[in-house]
Amino acid sequence: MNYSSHHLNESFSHIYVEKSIAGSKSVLTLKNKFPKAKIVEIGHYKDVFNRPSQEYREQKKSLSLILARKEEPYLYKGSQFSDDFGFENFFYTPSMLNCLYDCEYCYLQGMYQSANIVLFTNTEDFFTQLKPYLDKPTLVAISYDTDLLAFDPLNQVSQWLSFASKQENLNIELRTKSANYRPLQKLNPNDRVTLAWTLSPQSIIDKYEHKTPSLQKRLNAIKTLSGAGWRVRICFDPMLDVENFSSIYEPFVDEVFSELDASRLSECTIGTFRIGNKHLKNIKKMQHSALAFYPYTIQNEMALYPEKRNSYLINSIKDIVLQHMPIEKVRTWQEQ
Amino acid sequence: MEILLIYLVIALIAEAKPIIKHLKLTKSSDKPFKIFSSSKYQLIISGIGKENATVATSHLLTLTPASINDFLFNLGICGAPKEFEIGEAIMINQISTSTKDFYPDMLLRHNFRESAILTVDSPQDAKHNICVDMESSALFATALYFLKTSQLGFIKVVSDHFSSTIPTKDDVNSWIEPHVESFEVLFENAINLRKREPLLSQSLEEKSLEIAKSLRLSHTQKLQLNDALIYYVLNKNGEPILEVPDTKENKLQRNSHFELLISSLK
Repeated sequence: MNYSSHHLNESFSHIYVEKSIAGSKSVLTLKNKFPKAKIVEIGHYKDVFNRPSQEYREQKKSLSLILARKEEPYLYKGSQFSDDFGFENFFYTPSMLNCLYDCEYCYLQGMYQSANIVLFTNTEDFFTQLKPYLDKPTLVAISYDTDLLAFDPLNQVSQWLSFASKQENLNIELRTKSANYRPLQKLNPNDRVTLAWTLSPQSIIDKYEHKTPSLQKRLNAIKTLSGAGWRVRICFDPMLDVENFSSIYEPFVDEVFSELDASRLSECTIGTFRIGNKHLKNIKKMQHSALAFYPYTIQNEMALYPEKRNSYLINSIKDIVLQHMPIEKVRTWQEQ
Repeated sequence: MEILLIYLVIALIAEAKPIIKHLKLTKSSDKPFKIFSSSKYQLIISGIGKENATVATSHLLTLTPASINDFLFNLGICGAPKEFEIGEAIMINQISTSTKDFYPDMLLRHNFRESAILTVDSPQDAKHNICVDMESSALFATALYFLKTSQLGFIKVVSDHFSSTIPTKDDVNSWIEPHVESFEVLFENAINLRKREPLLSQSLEEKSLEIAKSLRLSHTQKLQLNDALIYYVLNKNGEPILEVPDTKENKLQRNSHFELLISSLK
């Protein structure tokens, strides 16, 4: 796309704040973190976030921040597109809507009308609603419709992990592409917390995962935290069916295992790109990414690679992963 | 390249005159609304109030349909609290009414102070703690039938601190005129912000139509071909070289030709 940043406001030049929380400690903290931002007081976050006739791609060039108080529900059942890792109670929780990064395959583009980031400031209310479920093992994905570690101005990751450290049945999954490991270094490793890093070849990062850290930075973060005793899962997911797939992905997997100590990794998940067909249709309208125009197979309202091709993509990478990790630690999205 | 247009909706001719002069616009229509134009600009004089703003905006955007590259600005004078100086230009970031609020996207870089504005039904001499005008909300609501939130901008120039005195034409001119160069910079920024090349060139679109006709493609096949062409262009950063196949082929041959064409674009 042809545009110049010279004509644009910087991201977070504007912060929209719900009037009801305008004086709260969280909002004051955020105002201090973005001292140049213009503050616009609003009634409800949906008045801005859910406006009709927004342009996701245009807003992505200059993001605004919307601060709000989340109303119930605070927990949602995990999606069919995600691995529940065998937990009967599997929830995701939207501490934030939308993401700092700009991955061309991201379903958020097709899910929300707005690219602006909504940050819910009442994290304690999420904990209150979760407590009744914690009489049995429960998995909560806290970085779901966002990448919480990439943009965490209220230290919600620390709040969640501190809460988890006191709840024996609470398991946390924090999925990320971030290289920002410092907030975690300040905390004690917890075996019930899984840090799930999405890894991609550098050429794929350059072409499709805009504004994300390099592969090397992600590997450095993993090395630091797994070395400190954190439970780390690496995710070759989503893999993209690109030209020269094998010559891009196979050396990449070798590179990852040459950098990381596989015995310190809890799991490796392998999956190919898939997306709800409704979201795909919305992304196609943006005419932004070639990925949206791949001739996918549609099954049960999900767009995915044709079966034979999908099996090839997964198995060719799985074979290499199995040279480094035992089969019980390797999960593929197909097997669910 | 698509022609880029900046639409300007202004209530009074006195407010518009300095802008018409600076942008060298010429009158292109007199009724039902005065319209002044150039190759880049369409400026309409709406008249005062919500009803006029609604009808004029709708008329302008129907007369010259907007594309995704275009941008619409509402300019005019407003009443404001004393913290704003008379003659100060303000970029509006929130438009309120008694029942609903509207939010233009604040993507464009600018040098003006920002404020919310309240749109009311009659001139106000009672004090408010917010800027006040008589058109913005209606204009926003109407424009959204034609444009996106990121294609709208609202700039107001302070005319009074809620006084009942009616300003003269000279007063209005003296408030607007000093800002016309800044306004033009903003308009140019908007043009640059929206500027983009169409994904498929006209020649590729034409070739695609010829192929569709020659292979007698169904509606679904035409969509498949369009998707495959976009996939190719976005993926390879260039256009494929296409040949129009022989029309004498039978249906089986045509379908086979189509499948080959689609797989060649992967």
